Amino acid sequence: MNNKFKKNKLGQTGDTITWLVATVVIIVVLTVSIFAASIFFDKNKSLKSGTFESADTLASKSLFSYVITKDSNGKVVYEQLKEEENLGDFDGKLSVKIFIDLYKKEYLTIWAGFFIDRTVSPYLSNEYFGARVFKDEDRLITEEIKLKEDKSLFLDLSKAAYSK
Amino acid sequence: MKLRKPKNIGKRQKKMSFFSYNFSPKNRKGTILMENLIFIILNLVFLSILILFLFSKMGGAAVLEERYAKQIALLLDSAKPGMTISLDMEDAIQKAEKEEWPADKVVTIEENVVTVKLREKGGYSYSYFNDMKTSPNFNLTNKKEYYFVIEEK
Amino acid sequence: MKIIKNKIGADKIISVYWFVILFIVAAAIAYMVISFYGKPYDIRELEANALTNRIADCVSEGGYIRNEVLVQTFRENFLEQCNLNFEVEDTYGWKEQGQFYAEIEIFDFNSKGKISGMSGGNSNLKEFCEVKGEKIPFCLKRSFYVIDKKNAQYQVNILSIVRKTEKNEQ
Repeated sequence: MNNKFKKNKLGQTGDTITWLVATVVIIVVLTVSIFAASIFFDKNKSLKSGTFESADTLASKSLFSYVITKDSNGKVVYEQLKEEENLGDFDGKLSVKIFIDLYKKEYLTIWAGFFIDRTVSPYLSNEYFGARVFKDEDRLITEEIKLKEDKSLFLDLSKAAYSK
Repeated sequence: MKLRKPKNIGKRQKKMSFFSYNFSPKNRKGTILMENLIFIILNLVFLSILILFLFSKMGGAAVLEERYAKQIALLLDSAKPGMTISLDMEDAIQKAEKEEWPADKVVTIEENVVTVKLREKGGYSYSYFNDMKTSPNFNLTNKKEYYFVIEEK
Repeated sequence: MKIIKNKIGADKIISVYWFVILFIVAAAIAYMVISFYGKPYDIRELEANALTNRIADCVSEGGYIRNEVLVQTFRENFLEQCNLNFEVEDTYGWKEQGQFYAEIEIFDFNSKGKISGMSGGNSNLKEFCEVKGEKIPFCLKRSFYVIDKKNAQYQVNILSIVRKTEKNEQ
């Protein structure tokens, strides 16, 4: 008769245990939130120019001065670039001295060279900057000097590192 | 369990059969427990206070004053004589109106310090280094913009 | 058999505890909100960049260095010549302690020999440029290449420092 009603012997935990576990969970979640908030909000209120920079005034000035520089024969770099098929001795070495030496601390990847308006390999590889590694969707600062209708000089600056 | 006939059956009460018998307590009428009600109300009051506090901080006049003062200072730092710069300040102007502060006195420039004030006991100032003549003007046409005319000193 | 008259006691203790938890959560949320909205926007990097660009525009025009830059009178009134005003609002003792410093150095591009230099503002801020930490002035060092009409090549170094820590860092 007694066994009829003892179908199971499952005990029930007290409410205290439930609340204890709940308290521990709440404290852990709050700690993580405060920690995450202090890191995330710290960065957000510092308005750095790198987050939305699209132009570099000083690099642009350097590029303009570069193309109007004359070589020892009095020929302007701009005219040389118009005639050459790729970066030559004078303009190539000068471009390295200007763009890499002056800006290598700020930009991890720098490229300068010709752009030829054609479908296959429009950006010409050269012995001073190598091949252009950027894709169209990459965030970079680009300056362009038009040389001819289908030929331009490009200067690309990126704060990201690219493997060549 | 013994089946008992309910006592004092009134004339209007029917005799019940076994299967329609109510084995649970006689009075099953629900009551709204006072304790639970107070508990729920206190929770709601607490949450409302928290949400009000959050919203007051978010749309706070102090935050807007700082933001616009610094934004205008940066604009003026980069400006050149001959420029006219328009700035949409709709949210700040609405805030000023709520605080009963005249919209044409929201932005003032003295020497090279720009001050944005949205309430009587408020205001945030920030200096800029561009040494030129500039004056803030409230756009009376659309009433949500300020424009700055930059001139040589 | 004893009849337990009411069981309300235990529920009321749990309610008090519930409100303690609620208060702790509310305090944490309030702390996060205050720490975000209480912190000012830090625009000193943007300010320093604007100052650098302004000085660069003052020193060179159309790809050439301005002739006046290499003249003594320009060096003596460099801030005035470049339309710069380093006066600040009278707060946190800023009027006594200058909040800006700008320095220009002009070098021969090939030999790297120094040709000219000029500065303006609070020069004491310069010592903070090598220091790392919080609540220190923001320093920006940048360079550009420029030539003169005789094709002489120059490297111009610009150092811009903005302090204003009280209004940009908490």
